[in-house]
Amino acid sequence: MLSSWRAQLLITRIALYIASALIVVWSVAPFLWQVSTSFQEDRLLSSPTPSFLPWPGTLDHFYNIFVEKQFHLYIINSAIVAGLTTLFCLAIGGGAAFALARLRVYYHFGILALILSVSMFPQIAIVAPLYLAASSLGLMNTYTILVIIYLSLGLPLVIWVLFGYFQTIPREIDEAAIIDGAGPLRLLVSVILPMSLPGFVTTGLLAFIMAWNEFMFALAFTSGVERQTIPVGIANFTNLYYVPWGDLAAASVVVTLPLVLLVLAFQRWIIQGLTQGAVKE
Amino acid sequence: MAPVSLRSVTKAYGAFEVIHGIDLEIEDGAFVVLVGPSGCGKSTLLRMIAGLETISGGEVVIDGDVMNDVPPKHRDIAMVFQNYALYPHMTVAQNMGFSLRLAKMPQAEAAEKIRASASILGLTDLLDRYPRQLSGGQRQRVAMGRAIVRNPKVFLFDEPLSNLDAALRMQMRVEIAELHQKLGTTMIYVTHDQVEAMTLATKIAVVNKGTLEQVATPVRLYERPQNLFVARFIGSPQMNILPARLAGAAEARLADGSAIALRQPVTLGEGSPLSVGIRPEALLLSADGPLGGRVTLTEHLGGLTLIHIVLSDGTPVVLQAVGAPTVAMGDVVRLSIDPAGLHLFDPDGRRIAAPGER
Repeated sequence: MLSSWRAQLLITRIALYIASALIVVWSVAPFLWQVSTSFQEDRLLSSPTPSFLPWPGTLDHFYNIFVEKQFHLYIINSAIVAGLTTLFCLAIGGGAAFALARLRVYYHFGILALILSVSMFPQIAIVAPLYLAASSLGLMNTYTILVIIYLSLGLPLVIWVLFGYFQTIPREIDEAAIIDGAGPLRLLVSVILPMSLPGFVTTGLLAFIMAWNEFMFALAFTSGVERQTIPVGIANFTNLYYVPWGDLAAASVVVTLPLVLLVLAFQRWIIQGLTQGAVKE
Repeated sequence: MAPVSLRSVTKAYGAFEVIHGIDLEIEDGAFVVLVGPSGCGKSTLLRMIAGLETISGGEVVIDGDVMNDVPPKHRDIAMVFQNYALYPHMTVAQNMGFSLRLAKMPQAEAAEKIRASASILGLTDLLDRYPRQLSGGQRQRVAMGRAIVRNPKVFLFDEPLSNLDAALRMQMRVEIAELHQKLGTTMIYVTHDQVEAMTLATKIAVVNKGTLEQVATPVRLYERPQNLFVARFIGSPQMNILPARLAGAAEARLADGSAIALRQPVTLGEGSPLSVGIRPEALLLSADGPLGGRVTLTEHLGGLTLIHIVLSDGTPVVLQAVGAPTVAMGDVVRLSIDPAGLHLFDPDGRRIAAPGER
């Protein structure tokens, strides 16, 4: 008897490990293959039997994208657009969520529902009208138009997540601050914001990733390396006659790295942010 | 330091009135406890004094100034909350100094005030800690420190001890009493715990369903409850209330016919119903007492013993005896009544005054 439940326990545990390993492989394998591809010579990439290991390795693709294709310019554009988007998303979204969660705003659930419904429009449906609006305002091929669009895409998520986050902060904290002499702005900046740092970090990262990876609007509203963002830049690598797989892979690896680093750096806050409010503390 | 007056204060949410015109005078330096069952409106009243709730009618006056439309930060009050409401991302010193920082007090002066308040509360060694690194009692002390550092005219406490365990609650109760003696500031304290009310207050206001039942010193409240609600609410264990009828001028008769002699003639009319209230310590075991009953349970508390008895008319009563009398479950006993702990209430629940009583 004793050994049978021990065996069962062992089997359960092994099954758990196998399942976890499968999930990891499933999600990481494409990325790893991309990394491997970025280091392989073109000769190997086009050979009939693909090779998983980059051997002999080469840095040609990285040289290509940075020296010949000026990939760093796209990175700068993306960094500016995604950075500004994140900043404005947090500032505006934080303020809006605070007002909805904490101040006397009538119909605040109606407003929240409205905000959510705005994000339900299929993006392809709003490209054309936005294009006309942007061109008549003279905003074509500017950082401004991209930031404005990404802001409107990112804000619903930011407002909803931060709203939920603020709701979990006890009201007495607000009241203590009010009695201590804090106005709404001071309350937000000195008390609510530091207490919701995980929420801000999580939503900020999501907004950043969204703006960093967005392709369709960037393609429609920018032309030329001086304003185009990374996804558009990568798409530019391909021409009518030739798909440079190695360069594409190298570029993908380069642009994924900052995201991975950001997530790792803020890991502690993200996990807190995503699970916060799930259980009573 | 300041007196506080409430003048026919009401609070309504839409058409639903929760506070029905309360008048209360709180003298400078008093320690007034608002006590009542949960949902009676005592916290709402306190929050109206603080400025966290709007005032629907009447006036709240602090130090001679009507405060109805004055925002909390200009009322010169400080408040201590049940769940402490400390800022978790600030150290003890920053928590205590937040209001001073907002008032733009020079740093050196603020630091001095924080140091002085910390030493009053024994927090000097904890100033650099964060709230999460403190025990419940220490957190509550920080919350009080945050209040006293501003040297306000009035302190407001909203059930500050409810989150603490029994031993700590008793210790903090003593500390709050000492703090009041040291500072001499007017304090208004809300609790549902009548023991806290009795031990801390210079004056207790019993609140029930949005009205004041009685305002008096703790001893007076205990000795002369103005109505059945106060009689039941104040005192632990509760006062025993026996339904009876008037028989003759100065005798009350229980349902089973046993007679209780009254100290004075009552002008209610023969046969009129009335309630006889007897404090547990005024019930005495005595072989020739007028009441008879059967012991159902004894609880030994050490110095005191609570004896639960069902009277022969079926009313359960509690008797509090000094020491450990030798009675066992199932014993049939006789009880007499100490007239000092005997209270009479008319059919509407109002006190019938004893002779010579004002």
